[in-house]
Amino acid sequence: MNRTASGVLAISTALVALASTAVAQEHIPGKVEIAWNRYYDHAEITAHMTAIAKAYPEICRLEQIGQSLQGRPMYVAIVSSPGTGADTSKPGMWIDGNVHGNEIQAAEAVLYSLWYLTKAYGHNEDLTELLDNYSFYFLPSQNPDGRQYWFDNPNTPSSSRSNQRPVDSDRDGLVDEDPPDDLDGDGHITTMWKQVPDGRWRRNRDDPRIFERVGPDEKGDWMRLGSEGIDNDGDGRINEDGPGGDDMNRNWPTDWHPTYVQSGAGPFPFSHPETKAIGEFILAHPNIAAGQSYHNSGGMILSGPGASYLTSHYPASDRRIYDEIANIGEDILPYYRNMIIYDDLYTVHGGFVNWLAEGLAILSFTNELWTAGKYFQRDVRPNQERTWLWRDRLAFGQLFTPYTEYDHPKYGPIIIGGPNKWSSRNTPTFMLEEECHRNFAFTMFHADQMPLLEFDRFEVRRLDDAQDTGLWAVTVQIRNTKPIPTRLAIAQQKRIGTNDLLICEPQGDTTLVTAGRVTGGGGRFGRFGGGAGREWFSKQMTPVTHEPGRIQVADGIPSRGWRIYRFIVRGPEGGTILLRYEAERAKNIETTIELRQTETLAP
Amino acid sequence: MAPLALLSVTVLSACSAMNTLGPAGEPTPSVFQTRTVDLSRVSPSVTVIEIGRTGQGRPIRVLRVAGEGDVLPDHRPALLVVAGLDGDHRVGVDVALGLAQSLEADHADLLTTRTVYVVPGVNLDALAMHEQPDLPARSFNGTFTPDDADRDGRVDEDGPEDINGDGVISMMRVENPPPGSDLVAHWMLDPDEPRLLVKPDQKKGETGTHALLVEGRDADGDGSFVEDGVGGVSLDKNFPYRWPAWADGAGRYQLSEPETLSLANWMLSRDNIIAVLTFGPYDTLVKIPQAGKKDATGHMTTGIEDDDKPEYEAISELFKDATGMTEAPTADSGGSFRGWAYANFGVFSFSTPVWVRPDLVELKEPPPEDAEGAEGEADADDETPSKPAKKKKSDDKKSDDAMWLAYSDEDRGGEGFIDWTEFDHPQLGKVEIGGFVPGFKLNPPDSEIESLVAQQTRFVADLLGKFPDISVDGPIVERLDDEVWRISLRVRNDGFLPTRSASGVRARRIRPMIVFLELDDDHVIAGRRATPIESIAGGDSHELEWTVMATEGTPIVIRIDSPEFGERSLVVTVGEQER
Repeated sequence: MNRTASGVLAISTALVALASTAVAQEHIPGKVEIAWNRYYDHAEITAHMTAIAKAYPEICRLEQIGQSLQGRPMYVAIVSSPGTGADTSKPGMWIDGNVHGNEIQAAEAVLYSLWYLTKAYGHNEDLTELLDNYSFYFLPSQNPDGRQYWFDNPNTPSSSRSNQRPVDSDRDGLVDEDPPDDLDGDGHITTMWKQVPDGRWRRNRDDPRIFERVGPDEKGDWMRLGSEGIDNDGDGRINEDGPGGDDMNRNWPTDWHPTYVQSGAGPFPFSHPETKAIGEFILAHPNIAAGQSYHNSGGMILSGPGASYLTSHYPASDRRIYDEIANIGEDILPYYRNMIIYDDLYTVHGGFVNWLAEGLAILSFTNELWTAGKYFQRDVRPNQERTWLWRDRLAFGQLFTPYTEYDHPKYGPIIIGGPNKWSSRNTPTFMLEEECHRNFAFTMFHADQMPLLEFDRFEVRRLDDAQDTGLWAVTVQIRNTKPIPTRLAIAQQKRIGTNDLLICEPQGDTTLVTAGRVTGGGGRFGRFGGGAGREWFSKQMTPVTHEPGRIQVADGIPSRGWRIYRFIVRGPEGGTILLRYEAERAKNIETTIELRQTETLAP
Repeated sequence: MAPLALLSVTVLSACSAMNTLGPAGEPTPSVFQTRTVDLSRVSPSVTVIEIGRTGQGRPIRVLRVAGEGDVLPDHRPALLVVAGLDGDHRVGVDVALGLAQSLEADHADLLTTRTVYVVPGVNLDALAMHEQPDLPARSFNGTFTPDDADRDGRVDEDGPEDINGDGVISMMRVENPPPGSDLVAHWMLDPDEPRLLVKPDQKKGETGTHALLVEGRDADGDGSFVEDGVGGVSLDKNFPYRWPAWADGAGRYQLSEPETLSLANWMLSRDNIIAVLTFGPYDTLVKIPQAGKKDATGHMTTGIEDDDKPEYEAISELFKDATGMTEAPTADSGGSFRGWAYANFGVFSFSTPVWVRPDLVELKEPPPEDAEGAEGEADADDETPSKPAKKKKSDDKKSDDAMWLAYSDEDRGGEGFIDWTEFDHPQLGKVEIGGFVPGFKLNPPDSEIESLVAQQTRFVADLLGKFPDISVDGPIVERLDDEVWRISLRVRNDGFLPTRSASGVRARRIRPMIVFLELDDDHVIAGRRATPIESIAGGDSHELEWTVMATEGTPIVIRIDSPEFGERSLVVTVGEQER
């Protein structure tokens, strides 16, 4: 790892001695046991986080970033190995989930990642090295109120998406006054059906649980009345103003537009205590270089842009890295596909990962957890009948409320029932651990693409024959061994964040005369910029006129590439200069170089 | 990161140079802040409401101007006047304060049914800085929020300076700037007026001779001059309307500043605002914004909605009558308060610089009988501004700066322009320092404030006169059969403006006016028990009709409830008014 002759790479210092893995199995023992075949409400998630932070205090601490509108505390778990510097000194990865309250397994996926990473540190070589290089920020649920409401109340698989800020959805001056009602008392909001002379639906002959749409020339005998409910406010409509109404994943600054352009946007970006707290935390951590946000469902690895007119926010050199990561992700996550939000899903204004990726130049994905394809794990499209087979044979009927008769105040005799809130969007509990683990693995792969720098080569050349103090050319190469550059193209384009800095501090009697970036060398430029290494044979140098000891590197160190700088120094043989490369999105590196003629590539 | 920590010392000292903290650490109240409070002491119809604090802790205040009336002030249709978002636009603050005073003195009648909210200053920190006698005069319109403008890892380290010590931070021009200085000669002397600089026309064989920049040094030695001064965020680029992400001065996110957030939050709590009038550098009244054009989403207007155009045109005429302005500066409205007030907050939104150069004001002669026709204002004589005569047409081809210079020379005794004087710059050698006095193009001499207040007071009174005005015809009850009645009602807008702008109808920020028939469902045969009315155009009306069952003599309540116009209940007893 440390290929520099005299470089001082801090990251090499603190590898924890790996505990001897006496148990001859893949399982990594942990100090906190969590069952991954069930779901947890907000208090339980928080309790698990607290237990993990208590069990691994040297690498994990909780920071309360705020609280939800209804007062639930929101904790970010900060995971960082102390031996390799503060969390903010290393590139960080942000991982969150559950901004939509009903998309519950997103929080378990985050919790699992926290759990696995903390217990693996010191036991698994790969993850230990990863955690020595990078820090992690885990927020299981962006929307604790929405999550809790989904657990505690009758819901459909899709309801309780929003937060719990009351919104007058039907604009009648009353808020949240006509929610769905659990009329049959099964703890779920299912569907109301009525037998009518001219229906557009009929029941399947073999399996009457299945309602089928009739063809245009056919006559059916059932009418679909929608979600369970009554006209609570007596305005003639049913379920038109339920709890909440804002979509917190439309409340972020990038390309934000008000509700008549983007429904659910909220009054203005960061108008919610939850989004504001998360936003302030992320803004205060410019070291965050990668982002992952979990949703459900559909089996997607999504990246921006959210709107067709913003494709320029993903310049080709950035897009290539997105695709490289997501394409591997398709292998790690069977039945998931690499997709673009606006093109493959729908238009989103003010989305979270769009703010990360475009507003802050953090390379970020949204994964839509769980897809029906995983029911059968064969390349067959799940249809209604196969889905019912699954529900019967694998879930033993637990995902279904049998139809019962009900005397509705508006519709008279009807039947109520059907698939319940657990039936379609969340991962079946017996498959939850696998889903969590594969997504955890995907994020660890993503994290491992974050910048890692080294002074990987240097040359010292004497320029004159002076006896005491000579003139020296010190040429150094700063290499990024990873695919994510220290400055993404979008960061350069929009001037996001602070420029990288290359600092040169001459020691003792040594003085810095001038400096510059070495360019040229002939030949075509390499794929990732730079001169494909031929700069080492070049005498061309783009001089840094001002502050040669503090060089602004606005374009950073590219993807798996390097920059070469030359410092013209006067000093005695054996004198030294200290070089330091500082970047918001990479761990700073430092090396000391002696003024003594080295071997050189060019004669 | 390490370099930031080291530099925090620089940051603090740079800030405190511009800050106006008193000895005890308390922000110094500025002059106009004191006046704001005084106004409420002398005037019973003015209530002062604190809506938030600036970055340096100054209270941001709303003056609520409203007389005694049947409806509580916060439930009457209201005009909101906002000034001082731009720290350089001092005239707006003065005129806003004057407006609050003269409205209640001269137009008490309008204030019994209407409310005017006046926010005389928002960027109070910059406004207060301009009042510090010991600081050099300068342009500074933003906030003091630290900002690494050049992304070099040092914050606010290289701002403008009064290096020649004349008490003004003006401009420097550098002839033939030396190579390596990072300065480029983009300018040449105006052949007609060597005090001014113009861009060379390469087609005419002209070349640049001078670099032009703000007075100062390269304080951080990075080769760039005055590239990262104190602050800040331009409040008028910080609103969530077509926000110019990443642009200088836009802020890290929309409403990132306490000033903008306080104003927006307070406004969002007020449903009775019909229109907003901004006193700021840019105009939407002499020349109205383009109608019908949308941004990239295809849904968000970049100007105004087509359906609001007739009203904007009519209000524009009122404004020109009141002020005589023929031209005023305009600018893109991305991130602006006026744009947000219109397209997001959803009300009519007007903006004026209040004062423009006198040649852009058309003197209104006392109208001859036939010239202005029937529309001639009766009081036109009283309002005729005492302005210098209009400039001749031959001035039109002069550049804007040349016109400003002429105005300074001829009307202002040269006080608007500092003649270029040589100065031996520590880094650049011989330079010249001078140019327009900061703020000269925005702010008139104090002597003109009074007449500007009179103009704006007249305009605001005229605007309030065009406000929507709700009245009700009926209800009328007809007997259709035994215990079956038809009830009809007409809700009228007797004003000129619609009850809600087209932008407001689109924005759906607040609920519509709702007419409730307070009768249970079983007794209503036809008609809606709750009828939403999104908007009623000026001079138009909305008809409602119900068929109900009720025993003769039953009182039936009809309730009209509107966010902007308050609530009223009408009681009709069926059978009583039968014809």
